[in-house]
Amino acid sequence: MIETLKHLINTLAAPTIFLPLVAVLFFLVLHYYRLLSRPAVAGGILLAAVVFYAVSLLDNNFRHIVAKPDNVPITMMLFLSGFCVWMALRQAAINDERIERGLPPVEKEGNETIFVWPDLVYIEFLAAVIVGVLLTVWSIELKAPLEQPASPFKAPNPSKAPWYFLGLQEMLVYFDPWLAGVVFPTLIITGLICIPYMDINPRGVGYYTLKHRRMAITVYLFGFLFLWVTLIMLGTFFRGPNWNFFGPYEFWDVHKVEPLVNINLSEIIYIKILGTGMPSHWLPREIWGLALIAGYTFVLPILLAKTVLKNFYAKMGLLRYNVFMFHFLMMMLLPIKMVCRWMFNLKYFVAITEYFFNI
Amino acid sequence: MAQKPPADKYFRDMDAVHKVFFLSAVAMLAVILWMSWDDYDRDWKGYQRQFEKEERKRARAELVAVQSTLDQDKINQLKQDLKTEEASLKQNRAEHEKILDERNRSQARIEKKKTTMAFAKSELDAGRFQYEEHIKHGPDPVAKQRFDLLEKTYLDAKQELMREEATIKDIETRANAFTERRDQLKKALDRALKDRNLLQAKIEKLSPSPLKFLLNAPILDFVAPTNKIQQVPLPDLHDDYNFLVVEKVDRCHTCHLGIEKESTRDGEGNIVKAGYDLDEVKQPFRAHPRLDLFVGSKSKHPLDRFGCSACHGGAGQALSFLDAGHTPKTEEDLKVWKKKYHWKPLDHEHLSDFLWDYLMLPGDQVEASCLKCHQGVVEIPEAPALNAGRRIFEDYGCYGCHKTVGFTELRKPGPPLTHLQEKVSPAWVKKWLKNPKAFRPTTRMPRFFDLSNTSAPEDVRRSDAEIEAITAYLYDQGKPHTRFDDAPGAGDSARGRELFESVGCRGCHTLTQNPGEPGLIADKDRFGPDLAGLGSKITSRNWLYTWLREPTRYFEHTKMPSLRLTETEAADVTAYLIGLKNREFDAAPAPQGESTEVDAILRDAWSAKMTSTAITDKLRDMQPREKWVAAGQKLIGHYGCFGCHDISGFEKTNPIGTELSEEGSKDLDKLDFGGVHDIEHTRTAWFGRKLADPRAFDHGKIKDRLDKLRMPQFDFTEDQIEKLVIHILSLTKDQVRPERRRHLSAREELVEKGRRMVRDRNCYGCHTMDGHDGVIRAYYTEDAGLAPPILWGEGKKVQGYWLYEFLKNPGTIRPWLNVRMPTFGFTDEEATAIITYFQAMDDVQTVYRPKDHHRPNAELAAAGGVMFDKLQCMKCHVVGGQKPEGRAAGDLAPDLAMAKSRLNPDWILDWLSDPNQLMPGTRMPTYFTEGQSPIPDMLDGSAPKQIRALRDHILTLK
Repeated sequence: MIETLKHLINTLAAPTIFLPLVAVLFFLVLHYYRLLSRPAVAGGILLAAVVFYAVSLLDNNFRHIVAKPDNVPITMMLFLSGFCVWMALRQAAINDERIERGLPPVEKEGNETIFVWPDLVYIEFLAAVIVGVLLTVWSIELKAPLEQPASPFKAPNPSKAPWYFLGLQEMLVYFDPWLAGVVFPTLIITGLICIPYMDINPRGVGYYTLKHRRMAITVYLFGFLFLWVTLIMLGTFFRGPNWNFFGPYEFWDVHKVEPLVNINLSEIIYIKILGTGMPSHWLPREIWGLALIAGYTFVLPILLAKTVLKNFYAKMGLLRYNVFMFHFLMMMLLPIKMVCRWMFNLKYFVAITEYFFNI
Repeated sequence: MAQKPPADKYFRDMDAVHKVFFLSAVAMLAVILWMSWDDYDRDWKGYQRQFEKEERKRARAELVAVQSTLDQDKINQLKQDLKTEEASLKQNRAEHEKILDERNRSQARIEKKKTTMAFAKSELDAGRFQYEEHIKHGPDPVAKQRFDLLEKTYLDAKQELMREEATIKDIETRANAFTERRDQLKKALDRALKDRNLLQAKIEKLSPSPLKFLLNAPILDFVAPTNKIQQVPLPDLHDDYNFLVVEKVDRCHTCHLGIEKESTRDGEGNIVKAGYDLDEVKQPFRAHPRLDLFVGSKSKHPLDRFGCSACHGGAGQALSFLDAGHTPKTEEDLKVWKKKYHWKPLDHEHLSDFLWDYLMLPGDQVEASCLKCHQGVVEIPEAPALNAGRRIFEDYGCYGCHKTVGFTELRKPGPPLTHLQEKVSPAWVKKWLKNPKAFRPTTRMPRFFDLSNTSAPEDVRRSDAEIEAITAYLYDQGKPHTRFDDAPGAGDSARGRELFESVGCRGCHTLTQNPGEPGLIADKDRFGPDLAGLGSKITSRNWLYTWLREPTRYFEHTKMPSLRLTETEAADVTAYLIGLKNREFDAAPAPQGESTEVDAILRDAWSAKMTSTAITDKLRDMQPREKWVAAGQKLIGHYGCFGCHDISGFEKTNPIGTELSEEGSKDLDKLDFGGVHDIEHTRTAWFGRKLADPRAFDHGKIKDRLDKLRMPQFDFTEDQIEKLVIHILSLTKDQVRPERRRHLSAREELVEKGRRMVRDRNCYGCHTMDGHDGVIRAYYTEDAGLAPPILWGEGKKVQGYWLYEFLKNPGTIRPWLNVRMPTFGFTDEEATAIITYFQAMDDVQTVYRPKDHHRPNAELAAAGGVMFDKLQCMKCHVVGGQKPEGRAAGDLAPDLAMAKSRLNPDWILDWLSDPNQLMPGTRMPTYFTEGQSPIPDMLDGSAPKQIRALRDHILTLK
């Protein structure tokens, strides 16, 4: 019975199932936030998570991974992320309800002014002391996971990036290093920088709300919770030797073999569909992929501006709209590529290996 | 100034916040104290305190012992005398004190004058420089004057000082006259109490004190703690941290404090002073068990030059039990350690490789480290387990398939198969291949078929076909090679047996009548094959006859020598050996390959490069015989038979095994444990399992026939596996720089070269020599006199010329022996190597000298002749044709007529003086016990003279 359950969870944790599941869950949470953020419900979820963790720790394989000194902070991060999201959603839910009833948000009621001393600085100082105590105890009790001297001939298996880069490392499964390691991180930074300049929504300033900023919050949280936190968790707990995927209760067997053959878009077109064989020059060979990517990046925003997003375009203006759409589409490239990989074993949309240009 | 806001306007309840602050501050303090303690509390400090206690206990016991040996009367007397003297000194006190006062004043003057002189000296030095500057461009009288003045001041001051020093000397002599006797008494008393005082001081030093407590207290211990980390830097040994090679620093003796402390024993072995080498001493304080060889300052491997981790492995700098990489020797250790030290393997929770690659080598495995420095020798001194492992590796021919540094120049271990049709029948070959041990349980030929990964019925069917194919190829390639002689007559089997058992065949070969019964000869001493049932293998009398007479005709590089059997003798031995049958083996059916299987074999072999239709076409066009031969060729390549045997068509093929030159430091993740989960993830466990069941790691795997593991089964015993693992662990990356390794001197090189020959030719099979017992002696327990001679001091004993002739063409020295020195067919180089080996072992210089450089003195020789008769030498010794009468053959002694051409004249002197020292247990009586002559009335009764006389007489014998 327990073995069946473990097996089920192992199966569900496979990226092809796990990530879509998380995506669906994500939208469900944002949709039913009022219900889910009620203390009783949220408390229940927290309790379930804690029980799940505690019971799972009885499993050797689970414990080995989760209790590694390296991985302890990731567990903390998961619970803290959950807590912060709940805090925000809970207050948003209360405010949204009040707004529906015609009342101002909680934050607008009463005097918000407090004293710097002692209400701010004293508390900050206290926080520093408590965190100091926690860090000291942590450093005494959990030894730094030092390994033996690094060897140029021997990479640790799995070779993992620092935990905060595991999301980027997960992208490497789907994109080439120049994209996953250089372009996308740059776009993440420029995107974050651009947020204040693109925010022309006058509502929702100074108080928690989801109703008034649904699009902004959804897009941001999708990027943060789904494409960042979830991928870090996946990279930490589910990626084992040879970057193979392992379920939470699975033994990290170095010899595990997974089918890894993927094909390029050009092969799908020329060999599977047309059956003409591959053109020898890269341009005719990759023209389809190039057209597809160009269409996605440059034509799609125009089409959307003319049709579905007509109002949005009107509100944002040309420059803001384009900057936003560019970043947004680049962000969405990752889930799109994931789905294409899982469904069609797609390796690259564009594969100009002659010039190391692969997308 | 801003007004302080009223408390009730605060956002939070300040009382509560204060309480939180108080609690967190307390927590912070507690955590800081905890942190300091955590940093302070180290295992090694506890061990040091414990050791201090132990030392104190021992010092106290010693003190008690010393006190009992003190000469109390003498001490009392001295004390009494001292008292009296002090009293008398008091009487002259006034005068004495006056002189002392005088001395003090003089001393003060000296100090003052010393200062004056020092000033003058520095002024002079500065003035000299100034003066030198001034006269650079010519003489300068003013400057000279100034300089001379300075010089004079200095010399005056010096004179003054010397005068004063003379004065004080005089005063002191006068003062000492008062106290001289008292000082002497004091010194005498100190001398009498020296041991006691030293011990008392030691106990004092080892006892706890408030100062010591402070010095070792947490945080304060950075100043000058008495508990300190002990470390020894080893500047020319290194740890390789991959990007950085650093000097080794070992801290093991921070806890292993008694490592160098041996018990002091008196001449009879009684303990005078208990050290830490006694059984009751517990770790970590035990002394090293071999301080004569390791760690001890007088040993060859002192601690300050070799440290600990260079041999033992482990992390030398680590100070905790776990981090140092201690490895349990036994299951028992493991259990205790788990409890006591929370011991666990030092890896990433069993998921990945070790945190430190060089964990300690437990037990005998430590010998694996010897090879780091001791290379290029046949046997590593004091490393029996490693030597045994190396020997097994060589004997079983592991190097045939596995290229291994140090074993690359050895001959292929198996006989050639290029013309085996002359020797054996195909049916025998097939049965042999199926299971060599069925024919000869002690064979070193391993088994390739029907093992743990090929025991299913379809695998067995396939194996039988493979055997058929390999045999087909070997016979297809067989070419006529040997010129055989016809054996004369049928031969006398009984006589043959007698010969077999007497001429020396048993130095190399055993003949087990009842298989499974432990024979006289241990496996490690077995050299040639066991000859039981030989008649079931060799059916051609001419083959065996020719082989016995001249083995090199069939196999040029054989190690089998010729025993110079006459034609009749050879025919007799042939008759005897061919008559030995293995009935069970004969009765067993030979494996038969099915013709469908040969197609399958070829399909598998060709499938990588050919389509299945092309294969079908090709197979259709082939004759059945052709198919078997083609399959055989593929399979010999697959199984690597040519690694051990010469096989036509595979002359240049590389062996198929993994190179083992650095196997001992191979990364653990490169060892495939496959589906085997019941062993530890260590190299030792992996190698052990691989040797016990070479196919074990195919367990639970689904593989094509050609992908399966193919190392054959040698059926090693547990002990053999243990030794082999030690050998494999010794094969590591170079870690010790060449200049730190053991280098052989020119003499040792000669010894090693000869030793190699001696081992290859199995001289140890017959002769007791060089630390080995002659194997064949096991058959001569009743009358050891009939066994081949013991070769001790052979280099000193015999003349090089003679040995050369003898090795090339052995003649009879001891006619009463039936066992024969074989003719090995040594080349001149080989014979020279053996001679220099003997001479180098005895440290004899190879000097070319005239054959008759020692000319017997006729007068002495005549006297010697008389003694020769008196001492009744000829009661045992043969001289020329004259044999002592009435003595059994085994009781005879060597023919002295050969002495002139055979023995070294100097050696004869040593031998006659004390035969027992040169060869313990010899039957030659010692006539000149302790340099005393047995015949006092000859040659002045001088033993040396008489010995020379005897020698000179012997050298004239014909």
